Amino acid sequence: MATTTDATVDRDTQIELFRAMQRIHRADARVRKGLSGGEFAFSYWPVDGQEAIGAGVSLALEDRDQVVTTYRGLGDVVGRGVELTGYFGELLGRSIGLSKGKAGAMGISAPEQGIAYSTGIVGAGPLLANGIALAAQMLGTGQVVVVNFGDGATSIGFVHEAMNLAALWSLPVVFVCQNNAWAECTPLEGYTRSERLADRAAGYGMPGVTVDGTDPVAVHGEVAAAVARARAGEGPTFVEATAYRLQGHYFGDGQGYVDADELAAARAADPAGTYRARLIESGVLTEDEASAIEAEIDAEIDQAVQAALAAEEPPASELYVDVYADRDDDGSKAVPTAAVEIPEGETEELGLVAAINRTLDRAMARDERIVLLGEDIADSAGGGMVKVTAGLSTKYGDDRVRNTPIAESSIIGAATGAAMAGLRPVPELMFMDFLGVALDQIANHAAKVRYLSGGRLSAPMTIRATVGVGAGPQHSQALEAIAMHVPGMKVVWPSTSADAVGLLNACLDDDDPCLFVESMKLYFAGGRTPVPVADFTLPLGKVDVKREGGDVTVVSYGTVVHDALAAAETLAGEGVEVEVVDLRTLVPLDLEGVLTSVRKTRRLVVAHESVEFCGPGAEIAASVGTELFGELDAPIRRVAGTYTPVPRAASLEALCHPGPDAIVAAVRSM
Amino acid sequence: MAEVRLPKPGDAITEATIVALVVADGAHVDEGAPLYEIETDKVEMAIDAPASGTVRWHVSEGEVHDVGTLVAEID
Repeated sequence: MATTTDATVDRDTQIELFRAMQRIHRADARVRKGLSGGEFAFSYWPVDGQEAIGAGVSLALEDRDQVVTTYRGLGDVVGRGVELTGYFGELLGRSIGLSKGKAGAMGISAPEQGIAYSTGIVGAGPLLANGIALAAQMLGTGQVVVVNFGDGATSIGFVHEAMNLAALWSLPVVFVCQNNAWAECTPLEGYTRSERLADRAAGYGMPGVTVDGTDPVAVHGEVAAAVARARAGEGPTFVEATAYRLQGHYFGDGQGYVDADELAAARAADPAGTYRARLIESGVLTEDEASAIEAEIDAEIDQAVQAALAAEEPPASELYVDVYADRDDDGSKAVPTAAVEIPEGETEELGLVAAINRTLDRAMARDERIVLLGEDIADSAGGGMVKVTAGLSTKYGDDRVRNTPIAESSIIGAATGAAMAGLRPVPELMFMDFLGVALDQIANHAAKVRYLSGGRLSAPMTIRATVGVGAGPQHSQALEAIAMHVPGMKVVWPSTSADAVGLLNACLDDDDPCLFVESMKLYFAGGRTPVPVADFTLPLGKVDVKREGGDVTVVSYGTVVHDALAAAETLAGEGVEVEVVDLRTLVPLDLEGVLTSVRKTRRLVVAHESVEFCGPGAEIAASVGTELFGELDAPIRRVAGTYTPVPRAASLEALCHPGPDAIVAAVRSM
Repeated sequence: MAEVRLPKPGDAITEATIVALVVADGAHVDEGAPLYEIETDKVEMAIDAPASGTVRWHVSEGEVHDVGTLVAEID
């Protein structure tokens, strides 16, 4: 690529670069001044020395383009021209902040001003940027996404996964690596043997360039070229912009790890001052003109700081707002509603695989925003490991039924970003054991983006995951409790084909991320059961009484519902009438539905296959015990998985997972 | 008149020791010039003057103060 110099850039652009650079430099200095003078108190990661990157990148973008950045993001946000009162308000935790003060410096989000998302998780941004770019590509918006990250982030797997996927799908993304010479407090030679970080790009089949990140003209030139490539459909570029961080990793960092002479030399050549001198020397600006621009910026910053300081802290009522779309209160428990029955009418006999396939098929036909993402899910790769998605790519195309690399963080990251940008993705995790592989994207991003963005963004998507059977410690785990522990997620686990249809439709329509759990055991041993031919939806957060009885309540979900029904049949022979309550949804939990049954039977057993210790049964037992203390005729019993990995040997697996006999024994003991 | 308050150089930090007062009481300081130094369990920090003017100290070297304490006024 041709090197861009002052001679090839018009005067207006040079002045705009100066303005953006000074806006960044002065905003950063103002924040540090407020922190050192005790005027403010919050965590902050300075950008002194990196101003040219934020300025050069910002001017290479159009208004419609989106930026993803990091906790060291002031330059990217302020360079983009984000309104400063909302920005400072967010740093200060005030109600007028961009996210109502609930995200802080690490979580700046202003999508309508071109900043999609910021994250405090090193390396997570590129995965999500891919999703925003995927939506832009599929919806034909012509947008380009720039994702900023530090040199330290090039060590984490997320970034490598993201680069691979972006190149594979020719996504309109520009990876901007802001190499400020320090990964927190460790220099480059302390964490890699790579001599040039941009060399990493070649390994993923994308161009990689290194540019002087202290020169805004050079940055602007390289990024503009990369943006043009991305917009033309030619795929991503890796731009490494090299600079030197002139302050500590965080405000207050004494920088004891930095060579004093090296730092002094870098500060003497500070990029903001150097570019100012350059424009005056070349006659682009006079001293007076430069000072006038600086005074104007200072006034804008000062006014914004004062407005932010004067603003109120968010009210207590704000605590639960933006956890879920449909709730301003604690969303872990469902709001009691009237029961919705599975509709009457003509039925067909379907196994669980066919029921889910039919539901996805019909949903894709009626809603073009639905996109499936996963390993081997397209027909070219067999239509899914157990053929849940068979036929769908043939019908809707490989664009909407996307085979992915074996990279779960990439899958969930792409789904999260795409959901933020208007699609309704259905990513498949395959085995639920892989939840951990993608947990950062699920727990830190998909579940929190609504809160982090002050309710302006959300990640409506349905993550499908299968609980295996007979597949040993790493392919048979039920980990629903992990997802239940993350506010912002909904968790659903159907026990029948008909329930799967109704609940999956509810997830696909929901405005928040849902984890939809499928049982391998029911895929193969669930049999074909009647499902209404007409499509229908069952509400999330509503139990279903699968068998009525007056003596004891067994609460369960998923596969174990069938064990509970078998136990109830055995116990009926002994004159004990068991009521089997299928939760269907774990979050939001229909506690009222459980209480209604237990008020009648006065005895409760909670049964699930996941580990008993700290499992969902503990939450249910505690909640019921709190509500019905004094009304219970026996202590609440839990029947659940042993505190062991799930063993491969069938004889041991039977001991690990409760079956009908364990439930019968628990009921008899009461 | 600008107030100089003891900064909070980390989420968990509640107090700091005044290690050195670089500018004498009643002397003039320029904005951005070194003003004083503090030490906490986490860091040692040199703090620059947030404004230009005459310094009036409210603390002495060796004292331990809570974050947010009025350290000096610059007039």
